[in-house]
Amino acid sequence: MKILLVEDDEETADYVSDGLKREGHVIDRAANGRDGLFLAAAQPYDVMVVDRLLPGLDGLALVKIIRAADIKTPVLFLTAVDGVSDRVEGLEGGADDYLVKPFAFAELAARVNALARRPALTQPGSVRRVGDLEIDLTRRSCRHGDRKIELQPREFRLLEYLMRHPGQVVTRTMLLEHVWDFHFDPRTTVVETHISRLRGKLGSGENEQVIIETVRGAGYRLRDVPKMG
Amino acid sequence: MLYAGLFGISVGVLFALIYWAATDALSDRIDQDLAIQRDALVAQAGTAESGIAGAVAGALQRSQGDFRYLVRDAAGTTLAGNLPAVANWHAGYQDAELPADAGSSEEEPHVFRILGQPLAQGGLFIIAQDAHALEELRELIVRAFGWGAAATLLLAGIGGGIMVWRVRHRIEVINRASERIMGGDLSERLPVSSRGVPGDEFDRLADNLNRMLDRIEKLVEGMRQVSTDIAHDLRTPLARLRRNLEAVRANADERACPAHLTAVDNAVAQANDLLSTFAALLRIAQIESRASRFVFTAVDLSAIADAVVEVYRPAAEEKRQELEGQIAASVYVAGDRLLLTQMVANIAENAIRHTPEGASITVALRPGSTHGPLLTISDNGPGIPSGERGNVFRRFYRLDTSRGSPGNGLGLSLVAAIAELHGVSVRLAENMPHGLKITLAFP
Repeated sequence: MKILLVEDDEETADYVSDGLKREGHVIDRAANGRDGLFLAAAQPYDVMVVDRLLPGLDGLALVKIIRAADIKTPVLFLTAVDGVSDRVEGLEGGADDYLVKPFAFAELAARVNALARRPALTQPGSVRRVGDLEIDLTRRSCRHGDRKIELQPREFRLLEYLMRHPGQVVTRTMLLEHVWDFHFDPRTTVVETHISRLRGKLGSGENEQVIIETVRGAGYRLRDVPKMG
Repeated sequence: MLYAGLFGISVGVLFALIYWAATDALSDRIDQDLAIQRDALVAQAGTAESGIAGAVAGALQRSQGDFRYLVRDAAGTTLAGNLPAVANWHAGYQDAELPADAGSSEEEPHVFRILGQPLAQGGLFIIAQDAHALEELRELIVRAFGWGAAATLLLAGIGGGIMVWRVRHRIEVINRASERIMGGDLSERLPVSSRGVPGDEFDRLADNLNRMLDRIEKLVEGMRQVSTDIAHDLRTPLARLRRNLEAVRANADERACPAHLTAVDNAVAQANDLLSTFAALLRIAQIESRASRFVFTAVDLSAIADAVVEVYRPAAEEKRQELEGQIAASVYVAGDRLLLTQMVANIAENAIRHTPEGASITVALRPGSTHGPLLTISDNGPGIPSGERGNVFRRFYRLDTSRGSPGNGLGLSLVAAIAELHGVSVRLAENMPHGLKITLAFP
């Protein structure tokens, strides 16, 4: 994936770009808003990672400009400030996601991947399918293999979110924010508990193909494990 | 009222002075007239009884002035004059009531001033003059001052009232502005009257208070900066520490000892915990100092309560606890949705964590009638002893019974900060028969 990183703090920039390179991505770097704008306009990227506070042209203005120029590249804001109104302002300005410093690299990587691939666009209609797991968005129903599964509303939304990012790591924070609108870190293991419930309902994996696996230090991943024979 | 009283007293003193001065002067005058007339007659006729009697008769005949006379001998026999013989006439001055002059239209007796002059043979020569004028003067002064005092008291009352009202009004303006400032807007300043009247006392007061506020604002800003800087400064090395650990983990290969890898994972998890604590601290400071302008919108509190119950129910069930909601629908409040969600979630989390297995926890939301909505979270756990209830909202405070259990002691501090921002009152009470009941009353 081709990623544009606009970040003026060199330590953060090194951290991010080294990590992303290790994952196999190609990184272009800019240290201020104007250079970032220049690069963004010059070539297409899969994802842009932009620091909100930049010398000169700041991140929010940069994103507004590229959106006005009809550049639809997904943008992830990095910021040292966690004001709630800043988040709203950033998202309304055209960013797609928001990450507060300091962050763990796994968090950034998961969000970048989630932004870059939008499988929802490739599956029209109201049915989502991953392997032999199928959900109907309008009827709010779910089948795994040949078994019908009863899900509560929030379990359904949890599964739907996982199915929107099949094979990708989804972090706890992403689940908290995007499934439950919880923009804080609960001290209890609510996410783990919900995931293990969902796992139980999806089946033990003997007959079914799709499982939710735990990725240590990062989050969870919905995986299609096709059975042989 | 005090001023009216002072005014009244000063008017009274003035009145008394004038009264005495005037009446004394007139009284002295009357006495002097009597003495002069006596001296004139004595000079004319000597002090022999017969001589004086003759002079008196002559004076009466000529109707000289409005004096009345009496001459009597040592035995008490009247020799001349038109005064009635009264036993207690004596030498020197005295007063007596006598019928008014024949020509006067008054029925009432007048007060007469009397001068007695002893005669050579033991007799007594009395001259009397109508002192009615003195009485009239007295009455006149009293009446005038009566009206004057009444008018003065009235004006003083009104004037004092107006003055007090104006003073109170200025003070009220200052009070209200102060309340607004303490309510959070540290940048507001007290109004200084701009009528061009240079510095009256209230303007000086307001000016001084404004300068105090400038200083306070700078100090608060400085403090906020300091705590923000501290948290920020500690976060950065901690984040770097975490990054290094992550790098160690990432670069570890299959030959690495599993125990070491686990140790690194644990270290990373602990670093995450610490960073999360810092984030919570900074968030609390941010809310308390109103650093960012929080924009309030209409928030569906019912939806938040429902969400919290649904999200935390599995966690409660892991401890075989029952988490249920009795939530009225469509209860809206003004606030910040994300912060309110965090507040309700923190309280629920607290309840789950600090009650034993098998406990039951209820989240109830009722629309208010005379006030705003009421959100109560009650459990049947051990509760919080009444002596500790004030303490639990302090940062990092842990009850002795909770030490060692997970949690950083900031959850309720954040609840308190968010509640205060929204004007929500938080009350802790004993739940019946035992347990904790937290009541959030929205404005």
